[in-house]
Amino acid sequence: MSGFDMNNYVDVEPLEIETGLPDEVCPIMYTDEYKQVMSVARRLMQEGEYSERALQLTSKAIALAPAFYTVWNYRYSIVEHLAKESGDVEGYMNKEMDWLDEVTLGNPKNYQIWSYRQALLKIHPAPSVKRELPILQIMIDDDTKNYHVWSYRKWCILFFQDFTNELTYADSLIQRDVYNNSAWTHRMFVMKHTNPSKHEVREEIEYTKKKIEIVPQNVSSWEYLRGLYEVFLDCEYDEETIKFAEKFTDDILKLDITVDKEVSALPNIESSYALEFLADVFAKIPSPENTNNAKKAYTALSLKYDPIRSALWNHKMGQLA
Amino acid sequence: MSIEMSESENIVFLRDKHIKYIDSLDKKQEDYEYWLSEHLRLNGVYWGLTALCLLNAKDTFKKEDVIEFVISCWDERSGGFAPFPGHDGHMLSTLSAIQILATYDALDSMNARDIREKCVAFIKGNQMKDGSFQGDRFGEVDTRFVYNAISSLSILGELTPEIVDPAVEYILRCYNFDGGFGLCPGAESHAAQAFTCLGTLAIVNKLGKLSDSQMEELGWWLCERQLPEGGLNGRPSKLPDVCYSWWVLSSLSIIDKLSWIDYNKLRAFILQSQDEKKGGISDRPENEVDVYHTVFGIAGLSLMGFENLDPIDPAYCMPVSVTSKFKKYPYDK
Repeated sequence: MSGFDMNNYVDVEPLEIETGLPDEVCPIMYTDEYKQVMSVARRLMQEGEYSERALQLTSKAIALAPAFYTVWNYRYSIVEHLAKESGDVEGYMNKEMDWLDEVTLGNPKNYQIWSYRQALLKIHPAPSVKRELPILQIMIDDDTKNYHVWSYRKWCILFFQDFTNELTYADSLIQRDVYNNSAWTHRMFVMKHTNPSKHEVREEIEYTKKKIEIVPQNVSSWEYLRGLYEVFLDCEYDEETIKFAEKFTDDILKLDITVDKEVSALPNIESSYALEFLADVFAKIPSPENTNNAKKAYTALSLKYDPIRSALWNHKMGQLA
Repeated sequence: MSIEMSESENIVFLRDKHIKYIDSLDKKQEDYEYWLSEHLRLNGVYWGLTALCLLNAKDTFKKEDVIEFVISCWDERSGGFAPFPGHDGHMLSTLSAIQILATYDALDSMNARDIREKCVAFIKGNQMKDGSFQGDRFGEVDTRFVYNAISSLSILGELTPEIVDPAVEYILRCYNFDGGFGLCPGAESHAAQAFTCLGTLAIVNKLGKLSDSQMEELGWWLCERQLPEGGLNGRPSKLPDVCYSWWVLSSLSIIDKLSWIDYNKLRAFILQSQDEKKGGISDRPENEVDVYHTVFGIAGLSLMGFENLDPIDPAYCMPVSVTSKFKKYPYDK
C-alpha cells in the first residue's frame, strides 16, 4: 500500500470553508495539516474525483477526524467505482475490509465504521461470516457491552442467516461476566429467531437458573427467565420455578408483612429480583393466596429491599384485586 | 455512597454559572476539541440554546447570528441541513436546525431558496420500505432517525398518514420482551431509544398503540434505571450518567409515570455533577463538563419541577412555550 503524500495533490485547488459569517463568530483555528487535508478533500468531493489518490486522502482525513461521516460517504463512492474498474471486485473489496479492520481497532466507539462495514458487505460479491467473526471478537473483548458491536453482530447474523455459533458465543460472554445484559438479550434474540422446541426452552430455563445460582442479585438473568416464560410458555409458571425463586427470599412470604411492619424485623435476603419475580408471578395467577403473597412481596420491596422504587411497588399493590 | 436528604438539599443549583459556561462555548475555537466536533456543531447549538431557554436566558446567544449560521449549514445537494457548512446533510442535524429556527420563531427563514420544500423532500426520501428512516443516503438505520424525521415534519406541520403509519409500525417492532425499546428490532433495550420511540408515538398521538401491560412494563424498565445512589443508567449493570435524567424522565413523563422516580435523590446526583468553578454539568460527579450533559441535566431538573426552570416538553425536548404553538397531529381537515 503506497503511503499518503501531500505532493500528489498540488494540482488541486483547496476549497476553504465558507460560512459567510463575520470572522469573530466562526473562525476555526485548525491545525495546518487538518486544514490542508480537508480543503483538498472538499474540492475532490465537489469535483467527484474517484481515484486512488482520492482514496488515500480519505484515509488521511478519517485518521484525523474519524467521525466526519461526509468523508466516509465519499470513500464509499470511490471504492464502488475503483472496485469495478479494477476488474477484481472481490479482491478489491477484501483489501478495503482489511483497511477497515485497522481503522476499527483504533476507533472502538465510532458509529461510522459499522454502517460502512454493512454497506461494503452488501456490495461484496462473496461476503463471508467467517471473515467478520474475528474482528467482532476483538472488539467485544475490548468492551463487552459495546452497543454498536452487538448491533452489528445481530445484523451480520441476520444477513448471513447463520445462528449456529450464537448461543455458545453469548455463553462465553456470560461466563466472563454474568451481569452482561447485552449477552443475555443476545440469547433472547437467538431464541426468537430459531423457533425453539419446548425441550430447548426448558434447557434454556435450566441454563438461566444455574447462572442465577452463581449470582442471585442480577436483574438481567431474572428478567431473561421471566421473558422465557412470557415469550415461549404463555406465562405458565411451574411450581418448580416458584420454589426456585423462593430459595433466594429466605421464606419471607411466610411472615406477616404489612405496611406498618418494622423494617428491622425483615431479614436480609439474597435477591430482591427473586422477590420481584415472585410478586409478578403471584399477581398474574389470581387466587386469594397468591394475591396475598403478591401484596406481601410488594410491601417488602417498598419497605426494605427496593425502597427507591416504593412509588412503583405501591402502584402495583393498588392494582391487585 | 448515599446522600442524606438534608445534605442534598444544601447543594445549590448554579444558574448563573451555567449561563456563562454555555455562552463561553463558541469562544473556544482555538481548541483541538472544537474542530474535531464539527460534525456535531449544529446539535451543540441546539443543546446550548435549549438550556438557555430553560434558564430563562434565551437572549444570551445573538439570534440573528445563530439563524444565519443555521441557514449556512443547509446542504443544497441533499436538501437537508449539515452540522456545519461543507458537510453532507443528515437527519440529526436537520432536526437540530429546525428546532433552533422554531425556538426563535424563525421557520420562515426556510422560505428562501426553496429550503423548506427541499428539506421536507430530504426527510421523506430517507424513509425505508419497512417504515424506518436512514440517517442519510448512506443507509445507517435506527430509531433515532425515525424520531428525527417525525419531530422535524411535525414542527413543520408536514406529517401525513403515509409517513406516520409505517413509522409507527416500525417503532412498535423495536419494543422488547424486557419492557424497553432497542435501536432496531431485536436490539438490546436502551434508555435513549425509549425516548426516541415514545417521543415519536407521542408526537403522532399514537401512544394508544401500546397496550396497558406494555405501558406497565415500560414504566418498570424505566424506573429500574435508578440506582440506589440516585442517578440513572441507560442499561442494566451500567454506570449512572446525567444524560439519562433526560432520556428516562422524558419517557416516564410521556407515559405519565414520572412519580415512579425518587426526585430528591436524582436531583442530588445531577447537582453533584455540576462544575462549581466554571459551571456546566458532567456525566457524573468529578468528570469534565460538556454542553450535552448540561442541557440534559437541566432538562431533567425542569421535568421534576426543581430550580424554577422554564417547563420543557418531554416529547419535543424544547420549551413548552415553543411547542404549544405546533399544529397537533392528526391535523384538522
